[in-house]
Amino acid sequence: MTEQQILDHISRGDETALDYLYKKYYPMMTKMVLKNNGTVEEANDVYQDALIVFWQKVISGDLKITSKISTYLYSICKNCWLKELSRKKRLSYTDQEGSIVQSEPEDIMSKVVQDAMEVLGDPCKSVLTYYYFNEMSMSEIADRMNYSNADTVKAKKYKCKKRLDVLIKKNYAQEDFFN
Amino acid sequence: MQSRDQEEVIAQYLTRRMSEVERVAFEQKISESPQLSQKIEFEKQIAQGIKNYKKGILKSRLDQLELSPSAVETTSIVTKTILAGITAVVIGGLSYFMLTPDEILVIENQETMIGNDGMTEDENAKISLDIDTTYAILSDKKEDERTSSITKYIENTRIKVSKKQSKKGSKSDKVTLQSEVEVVLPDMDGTEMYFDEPFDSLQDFSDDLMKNQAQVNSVPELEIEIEMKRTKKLKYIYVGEKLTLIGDFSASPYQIIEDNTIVEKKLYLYFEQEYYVLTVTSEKKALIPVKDMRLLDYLVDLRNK
Repeated sequence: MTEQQILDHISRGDETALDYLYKKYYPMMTKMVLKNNGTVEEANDVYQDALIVFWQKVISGDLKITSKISTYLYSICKNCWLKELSRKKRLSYTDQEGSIVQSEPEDIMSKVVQDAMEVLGDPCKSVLTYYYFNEMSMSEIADRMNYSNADTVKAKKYKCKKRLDVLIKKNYAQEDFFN
Repeated sequence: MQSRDQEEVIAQYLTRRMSEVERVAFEQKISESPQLSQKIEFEKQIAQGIKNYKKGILKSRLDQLELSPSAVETTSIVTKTILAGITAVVIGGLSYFMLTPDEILVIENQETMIGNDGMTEDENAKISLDIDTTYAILSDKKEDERTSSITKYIENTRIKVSKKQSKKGSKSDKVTLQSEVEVVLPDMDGTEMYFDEPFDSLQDFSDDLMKNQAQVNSVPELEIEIEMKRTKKLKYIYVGEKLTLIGDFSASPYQIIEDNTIVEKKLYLYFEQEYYVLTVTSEKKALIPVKDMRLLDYLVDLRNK
């Protein structure tokens, strides 16, 4: 598959392109982490994060490719790993100080949203992820999900988001209380 | 603004669907309304939560992918694979230069097979001339398992060596020259830590490596000639599978490093503390030392291992 074909597949949201890229560059990207004090788990995690960042950038049209995919991926991987190293350093410092590590409010919220999404089920899950994660237009979502037109998707998205809000508010209040 | 409209506008703002003019106007509104600002902050977290949810799904998908054994073994093998494939180092020694300047040493046509137990001579190998060649033994007894992993990649590698002509005007018709052909294996425990910025040559190398990660192709026959000239300027000709080094190479041993893991083989020369990239040229070309620090690091690392 040529690089342009891979990018075309990603732009269409074809997740098999993600699989393809993952396998193709696995040795190269994980090696960078492993050679810099990372464990296998960290290497996998960083590479997956980097690949998803790349995926999002391509799919949302943010990335103007002027170099090889491997070059972009490598840079993202490196940044992700530096970020992780800095996070680890911070955590280690906090541990030495004897502070109690508390979850950030953002982390709690994120967990609540993820749980709510599971409860929400399809097709709402798909509509919302296409809209927020893939940043697809209403027409694109309509095409993908076989809705008649963009307005139908817009109405569907609104209803789904309302349902999600209800679930979040209910669960977030509980989480907030326990934390 | 109706609640539904406001929701839609906030969603558009958070997913960057607004034009520049709309965005600036909306940010102005946000700055004027703490209530709206708070609402945006909350919605931003929800949007991030949805993204993280999808990210989690994609990561699970990737976790379930079956990687080829060669890819999985990358944690301990990749570096070794690279090095095992990259380096067929031919070391030329001072003894080569016992020859008179116009004499030529050619390395060709002696085969050596590499098997699971290390390197053994191919019985059918043709040792055509009087050259006493020694081989580095590949097997690492302490690390049999790892060695077999390596040999998996290099089992078809052949190194061909012979001498083309003997010393002219020598007292004896037979001149025994000591030369050494060594296949350098990587350091099994190489845990060097460094960050290397992506740069074209390494990226190209890495990219090409991906295409060849499963095996290392046989080392092509490389014929090396030395044209002795008492000059400080070093030159070379590299065409076909023949490399001619021109100049005074008698001061110290040289090494030729072949990179065979990539589609287009790369050849490097190490001589008197300097590294040189050898590119295909049918005309005499000056040897210019490598100055790119990252490439130098890479080559030093490679050679040390």
